[in-house]
Amino acid sequence: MRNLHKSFGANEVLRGIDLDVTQGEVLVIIGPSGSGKSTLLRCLNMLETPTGGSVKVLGTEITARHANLTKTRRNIGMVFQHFNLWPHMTVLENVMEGQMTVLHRRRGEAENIACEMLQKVGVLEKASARPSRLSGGQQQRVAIARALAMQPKVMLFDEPTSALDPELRAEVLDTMRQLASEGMTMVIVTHEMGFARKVASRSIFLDGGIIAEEGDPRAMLLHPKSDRLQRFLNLIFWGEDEAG
Amino acid sequence: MGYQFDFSWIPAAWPVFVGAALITLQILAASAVLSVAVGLIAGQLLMARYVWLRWPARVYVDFFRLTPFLLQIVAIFFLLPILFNVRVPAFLSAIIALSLNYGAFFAEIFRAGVLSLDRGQLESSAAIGMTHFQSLRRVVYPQAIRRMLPPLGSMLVSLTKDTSLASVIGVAELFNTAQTVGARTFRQIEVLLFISLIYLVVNLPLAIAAERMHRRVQANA
Repeated sequence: MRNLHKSFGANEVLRGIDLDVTQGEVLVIIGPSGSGKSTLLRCLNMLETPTGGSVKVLGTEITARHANLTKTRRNIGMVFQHFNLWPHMTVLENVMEGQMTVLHRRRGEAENIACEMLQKVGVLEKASARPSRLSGGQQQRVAIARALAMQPKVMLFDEPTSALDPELRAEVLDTMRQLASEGMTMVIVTHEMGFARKVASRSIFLDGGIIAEEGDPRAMLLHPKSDRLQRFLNLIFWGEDEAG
Repeated sequence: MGYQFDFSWIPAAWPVFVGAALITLQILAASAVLSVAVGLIAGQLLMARYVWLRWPARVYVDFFRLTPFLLQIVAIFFLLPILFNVRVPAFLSAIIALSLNYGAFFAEIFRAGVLSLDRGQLESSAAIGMTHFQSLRRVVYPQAIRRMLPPLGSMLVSLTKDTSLASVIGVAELFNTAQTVGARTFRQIEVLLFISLIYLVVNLPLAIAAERMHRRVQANA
C-alpha cells in the first residue's frame, strides 16, 4: 500500500501510509482508538474506499477504478469485531454460504470443507445450531472458520477479541495462534499486547493517521522508542497515563 | 324506526355479485403482485448509491404517498389516453393505479426493512466476495423479509378495501355493482350490508394471518 490517505468529510483519518505485508507474515497494528487502525485494515479489502493512494493485494491493484473487487476479496478473509455471522443460517450454512455462492462449490464439497474448518476451530458440535445460541467466543471462531473455508491467502482481523469477555478471548486467540503457526499471512488490529508480543512477526504503531513506530513486536513493546508509544503502552498495561 | 329490512332480492342478484366478487379478487390479486414488485424495485432505488436513481424514486414515492388515492385513480384513467394515446380499459387502469399507489408504500416498507439490518451483515457478505446482488438475495432479504411481513400484511388488508375505489371509474367490481343493484331494487342499505360481509370474508383471514406474523416477529425480536 502506497501513500494511503482516507478522509471522512473534513476528518483526515489516514495521512499517508506506506506498508508492505509479505507472505507468511503476521502483522499486528496497534494504536489508540481513532488512530485509523480499523480504517487502514478495511482499506485492504476496500470495505473503505481510500481517498488517495493505492492498495495492491496479491498482484491486483484494488484501488484501480475498474478493479474486480469480488474476485480479490475471495482471497482475503476477514474477521470482524462483532462477528457479523448471518443469523438466519445455521453455523454450518454460514460456513458453506460463501463457498457455494461465490466459489460455486457443490453442496457436498462445501459441507465437507465446512465441517473440516469447524473441526479445526473446535465448534463442529454446534454445526446445526443458530449463531445466536453460541457464546461470543464460539461465534468468533465460526467467523474464522467461515473465512478459512474460502481458502484465503490473507486473513484480516479487526479487533477480533474486543467484543468478548476476558475468559472467552483465549479460545479465539488460540485459534489465531494456531493459524499463524501454519504460515497464514495475517494482518491483525488488536489491543492484545501479549498476543502481539508472542505471535506477531512485525508490528506497527499507528497514531494520528501515520505509522509512528514500526518493528519487531518484542523490542517495540518492551523498549518503545517514541514517547507516544510509551504513553500508549502505559495506558494499556496500567490504565494510567504516566507522562500526562 | 319504521324501516323494514328486506333481503328478498339476494337470490335473484346472487350471480351478479359472484361475478363482481371475482372482479374484485382479480383486481386484488393483480395489484398485490404488481405493487410488491414495484415496491421492491422502487425501495431498492431509494437506497441507490447514485442521485440520479434515488431522486426519481423519491419523487415517485412521495407523489403517490402524499396525494389522495381517489385523485390518482381518476387522474390515471383520464391521463393515460391523453399522454400515451392508448385506450386503457377501466379494469386495467384501476390495477395500474392501485399498483403504483401501494408500490410507493411498499417501497418505504422495503427500504425500512433493509435499513434496519446491521451494516455488518452487508460488510461480511461483501468481504467474503459476494456481489451486491448476491448479498441482497442471500443475506439481506431473507432477514429483512421477516420484518417486512407484518406491515405488508396490513397493507394487503387495506388494498382489499381500496379496490372499492375502482368503482368511480366504472369498474363493475363489488362496490360498483352494489350501487347498481341498490338503485334497481331500492334496497341500498341492505346491499351495502351484504357486500360488507363479502369484504369481511376476504379480509378476516388476511388480518388474522398478519396479526400472527406480527406476534411471531415480536417473539423473535
